[in-house]
Amino acid sequence: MVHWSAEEKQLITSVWSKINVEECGAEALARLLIVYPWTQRFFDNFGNLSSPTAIIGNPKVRAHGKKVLTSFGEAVKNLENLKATYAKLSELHCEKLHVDPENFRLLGDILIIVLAAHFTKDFTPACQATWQKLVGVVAHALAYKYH
Amino acid sequence: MLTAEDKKLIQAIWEKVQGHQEDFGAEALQRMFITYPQTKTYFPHFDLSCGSDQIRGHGKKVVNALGNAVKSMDNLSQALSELSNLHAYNLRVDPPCFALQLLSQCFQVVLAVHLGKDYTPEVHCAFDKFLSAVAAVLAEKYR
Repeated sequence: MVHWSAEEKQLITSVWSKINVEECGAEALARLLIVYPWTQRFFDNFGNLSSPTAIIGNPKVRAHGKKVLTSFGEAVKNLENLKATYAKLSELHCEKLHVDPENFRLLGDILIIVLAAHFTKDFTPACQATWQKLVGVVAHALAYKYH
Repeated sequence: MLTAEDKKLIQAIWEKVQGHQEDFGAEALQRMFITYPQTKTYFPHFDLSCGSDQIRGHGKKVVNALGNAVKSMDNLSQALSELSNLHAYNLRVDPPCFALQLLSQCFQVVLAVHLGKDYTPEVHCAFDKFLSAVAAVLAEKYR
């Protein structure tokens, strides 16, 4: 069980309340596909991913990015129970989607950079530390049901 | 690995780092020590309190070395040869690349914090590749 201090919970909820989930999610997913192009292998049916511009403008990328980050919101609401929260999604990513859990870590790191660029100075070291911890435990929960 | 376009983007971004080497370096290290406490194990001899002279001095050193790498992107192996020896034989940052990856993440966060929207996906990609290349060279002589 992960322990969250009062300060960490506060940093998580205050940042989350200021995020535009659609924009942020779209950007995080787009950056994942741009910075780590091998991740495009999971999105063969997304159409044009041939350049950063194409990826950023791709409506399927935007929609899926929003979906992914919306799901992240479940983590924010269930900090004390992440493994249960992500049990079904973990099975899905293993059995149907066949995603190497390393990719969850990559997406987590990308999300941090998106938040940093968005919040600039307000993304303090304490903020970064808390959110890196959060993306780490979410990645762990998503990998938990792998077999 | 690094395309001509990547190199252009990296050099352009590096212009914005000029004059801020010490600040950016210190901030990257600070963020790394707070976010990844295991990295403190490499600095038992340092005063790791916020804003310490040692962190500022070391941050400046690290960023200056990166600046040198930016000037020598066509020949990173040679340019970083001494540092490669240092990291392999003296510092032995372990496991190779992983700890350096943590510093890379923190340095990119610092750039994103200070450049905001200018840290575009294209720049992010080029810089991530660059820092990976630097880490790979630094780990070259591990075994």
